[in-house]
Amino acid sequence: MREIAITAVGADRPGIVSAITGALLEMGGNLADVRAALLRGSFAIVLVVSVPDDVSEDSVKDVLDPVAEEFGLGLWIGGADEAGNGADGESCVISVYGADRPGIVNAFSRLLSEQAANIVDLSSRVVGDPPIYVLGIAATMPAGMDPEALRQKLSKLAEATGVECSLSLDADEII
Amino acid sequence: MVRDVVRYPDRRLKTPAASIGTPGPADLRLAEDLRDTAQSYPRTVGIAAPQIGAMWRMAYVDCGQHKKVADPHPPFWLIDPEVTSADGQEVGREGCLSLPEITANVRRATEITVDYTDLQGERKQITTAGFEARVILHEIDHLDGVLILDRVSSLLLDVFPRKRR
Ligand SMILES: [Zn+2]
Repeated sequence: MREIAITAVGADRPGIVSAITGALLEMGGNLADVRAALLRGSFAIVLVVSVPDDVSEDSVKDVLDPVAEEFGLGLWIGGADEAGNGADGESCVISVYGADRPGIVNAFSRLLSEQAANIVDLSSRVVGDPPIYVLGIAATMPAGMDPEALRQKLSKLAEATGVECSLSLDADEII
Repeated sequence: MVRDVVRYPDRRLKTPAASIGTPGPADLRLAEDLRDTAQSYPRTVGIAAPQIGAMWRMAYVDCGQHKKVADPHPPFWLIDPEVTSADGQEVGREGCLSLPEITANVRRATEITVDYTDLQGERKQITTAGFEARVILHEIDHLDGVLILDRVSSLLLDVFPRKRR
């Protein structure tokens, strides 16, 4: 088996997930990880699917093209990268919220990148009126990084940006 | 004796365990196995009998030397535990020996009182708070066939892959 990555984005309507996964199942695919979300009116899905070794990316495309056509989706298909992410230290979750203004995601992602921390999951949205921006980031710190040092840098940045920020670390103990 | 740890999706982890009543020789052997098995895994502060495939209501808790617990009780066994009072609520991250690849945010009471039988067969009571309370509640969940994945408010937002170490 080999893994193939697929992304599809388009105007939201019922049946997209069912049509894509049905087509993949029919060709012998087995879903690994999937993320899908409705962002405003756009539905976006990313799938990593294992397929038999003799199934090429082109044949996956052949199977999904009619679905993309039917639902008006932009489609991208490529080999999935199984390599690690480089950062192999502790995991952490960073939560940020504050009055909406441009540059919040950029400021926090830049800080993490400067610290060689690797973002493994991120989502953000504008909620409420007046608009509040909420941002959640799961990241892996580089080996040997002191979480307290990161916490201080984050809170300094939060203060400078005028938002609230908290850092929670992964559980170390096993129950 | 160190026993094999049962991992989900083994159905025993989703099955309620049976009451022990007055512990006999087999229960004392089980108690030793729980301690030995917990001690054989690093950073492990508790284990419940179903996690080694023994479907009896017994758990072992040892929060000694744990940085989150300032004043832990010495290691102890809980037989037929019952929570008699629970106060406060806090979300905290938990990892489980039977779900080694993930951690999850679980809401638990912060202060609890638990009645239980000790290894001598005497009914006792323990009152504790914070992380030690969390550990006891996690183990009692195991005796009821409840896992941290049953406790999260969102499988999407509250479950995290654990780094392989
Ligand atoms: Zn557990």
